[in-house]
Amino acid sequence: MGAQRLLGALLFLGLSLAQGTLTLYTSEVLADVNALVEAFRREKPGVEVKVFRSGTGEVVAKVRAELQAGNPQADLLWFANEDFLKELASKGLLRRIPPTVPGYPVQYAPGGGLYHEVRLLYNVIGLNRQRIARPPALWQDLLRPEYRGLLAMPDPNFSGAALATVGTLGGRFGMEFFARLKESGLKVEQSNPVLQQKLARGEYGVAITTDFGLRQEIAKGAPLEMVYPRDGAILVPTPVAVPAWSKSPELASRFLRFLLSPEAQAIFAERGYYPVMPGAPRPKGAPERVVALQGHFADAATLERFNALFGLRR
Amino acid sequence: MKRVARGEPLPWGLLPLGALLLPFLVLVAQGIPRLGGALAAWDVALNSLLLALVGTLLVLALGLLLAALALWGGVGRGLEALLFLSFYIPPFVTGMGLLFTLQSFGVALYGAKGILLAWTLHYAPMAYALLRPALGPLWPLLRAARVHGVVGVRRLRVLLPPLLPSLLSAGGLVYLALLGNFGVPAVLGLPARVYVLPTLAYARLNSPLSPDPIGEAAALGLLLGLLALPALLLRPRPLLEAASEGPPSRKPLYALLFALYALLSLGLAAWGLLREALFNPYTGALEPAFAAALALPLVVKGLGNSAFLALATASLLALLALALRPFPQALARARQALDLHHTLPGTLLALGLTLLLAPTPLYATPWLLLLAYLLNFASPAFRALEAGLRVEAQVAAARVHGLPFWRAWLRVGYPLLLPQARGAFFLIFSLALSEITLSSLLYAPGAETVGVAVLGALNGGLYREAAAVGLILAALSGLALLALGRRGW
Repeated sequence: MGAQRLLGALLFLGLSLAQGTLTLYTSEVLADVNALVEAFRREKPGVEVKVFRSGTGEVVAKVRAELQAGNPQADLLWFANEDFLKELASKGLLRRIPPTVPGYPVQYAPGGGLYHEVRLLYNVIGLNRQRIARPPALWQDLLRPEYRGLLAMPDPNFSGAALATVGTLGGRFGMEFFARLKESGLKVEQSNPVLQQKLARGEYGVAITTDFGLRQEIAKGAPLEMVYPRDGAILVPTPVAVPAWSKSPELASRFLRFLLSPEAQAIFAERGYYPVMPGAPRPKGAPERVVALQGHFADAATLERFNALFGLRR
Repeated sequence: MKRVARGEPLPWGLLPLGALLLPFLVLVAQGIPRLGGALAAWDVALNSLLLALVGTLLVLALGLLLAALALWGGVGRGLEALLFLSFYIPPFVTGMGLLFTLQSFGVALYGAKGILLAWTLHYAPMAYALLRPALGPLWPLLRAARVHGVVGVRRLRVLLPPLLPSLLSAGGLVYLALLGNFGVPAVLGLPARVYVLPTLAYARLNSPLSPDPIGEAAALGLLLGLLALPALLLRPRPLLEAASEGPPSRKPLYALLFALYALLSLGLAAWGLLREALFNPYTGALEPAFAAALALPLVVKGLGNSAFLALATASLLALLALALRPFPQALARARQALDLHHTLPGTLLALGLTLLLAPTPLYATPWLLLLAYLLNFASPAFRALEAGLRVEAQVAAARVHGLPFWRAWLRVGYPLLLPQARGAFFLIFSLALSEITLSSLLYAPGAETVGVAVLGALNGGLYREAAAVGLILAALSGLALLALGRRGW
């Protein structure tokens, strides 16, 4: 028994002695983060990458709580809440990393590199083929009576992508749109992946959800289809930033640059995202051109109204 | 017989035992000013209370029925072990298994009914273990009743009054277990927005909108403590105390029913897990998800961390209990002081430790979890060595023959206690391995436990991987039960 404890102690010691550690706080899907981290570690074998992964809401909460306690841990932030990053930037809490990777479109690195888009994801309409005969073409089509009781979306309190759905569609059609969806039986699930599982298993027929996740399930054989609405799929900003408090900023910016490397960009495409670098492959089965609707995250008041409408508890 | 080694000093005073209560005191101090705000969640508190009460009644009824079947059928250790197997599967894995099983029949199990079903199936063996020893000695009463012409349901009136104290104390233990249970409501309640206090405290702690997450969670923890208080007053007696009854009858039909129930409850949990972990849900092809699950670093790390924490907790506690064993009073005092850490909902301990230790370097390290585990599992570990075999006479005999105090214990006392220590070790190991309440509130990046990893996978839509890890945990728990069962429990 003593030997076991010694072994454990050595294990922990070993972790702390690795050539630098990088702590990543992210809302990226676990399997996707893992693939990227694995690839990064093949390039820099001695580096220990710690990942905290949850929905954007929880990740932001964790960062806030740690800031409040004066003990922030993350070296890299990567989630779907641009507003929070802007807030951090305004307090001087983000490290500016100039976008010097050749070919990288500057518009993806606002403020001279305060944060960086490394790939694009859209909110689209997902369908279960077995439950839906006539696919919608526009966002407003979701209100058709034939979809009553079959509709779902993720929880904007948890999912940053859903927060963008509420902000963007609420801004375009008014909160009235969600009230009418509610009348039509729209259910709110916690997260995109869980929602996609339930959609794939026929619990729902139509869902407002992320395109890459649908593509991943389709690749596994799920009876799903996706519609990029003609009036615009919602482009969800999911930038990466290096906070000023990072204890290993060199390693963090190195990881950031790695995300723009051909290898990482190919991983993104393979996992259903649109890469940002010119010349990177397109995800399998994805349309060549997407009509994009720049996503806006719902503000606190809009979110409160949404919560009141659907009886969500924060 | 109580203190043969008279005059030996206690290894420490009582002061440190008081310090053990600090997490709860801090929680009360921080929670009280915010209690008003927490009362806005009165509906969740009510939900917690009702679910725990109804669950307790269901568990007691099923446990009593099983105890009666066991007595009628003369059920032995082998069949009992089959029943206990489903108690040794971690509750959240049971919940997950039920979810997947019923899903395969097209039933969505989320919400209150799912929580109650999972609780009932999981905790019925515990009620059984508590009630059978109480019911056994009363069995002859039934015969007496029949002689007097009391048959059928009316026989319950003969049985219940003398059984009431045991029912109350078993009910108290079950109620506390259900009230504090986090895993099942996390798996079956959270997705349907059915909250109980432990899951709401967890949600508040992670809320993006809360200006003071720890304070709000602390207030909810305090509310939970208030709900637990009445049950503590019932002075619940612990598990792990065996009593024997002479089995009065051996009717194979009842033993068969008992066995059928044990298999059914196991099957309900296992079927869904196996199906989900082994087959592609869309194509039906055999594609085991174990490799994919073990390819997730979170899972591998979680298994490693949990194995280390469980080993460390189980061995430290077994050693500590052995070290204290020569001083029965000190052992009993320490155990009494730590009883609260085990019987009170884990949420309270976790929040108390967070409040107490957040400013220290211990926070956000695995050592904080180790500390929490040690505090939480000390009471059952100490109890395992408190009860059972008495070796004082043998040690005294050794001392009469001239062996010094410690040598007498090392040469005579401890070897006799080894099986008990081993029992304590495996019990704590299997409990700690799949711990989820403390871990989900106290883990830090890089220090996830396997329970946290499974919840993460489940919330991330990785159903198949979660099911695979759940099966691995269930198998490990079953192995621990086997190791434990070699001497009964």
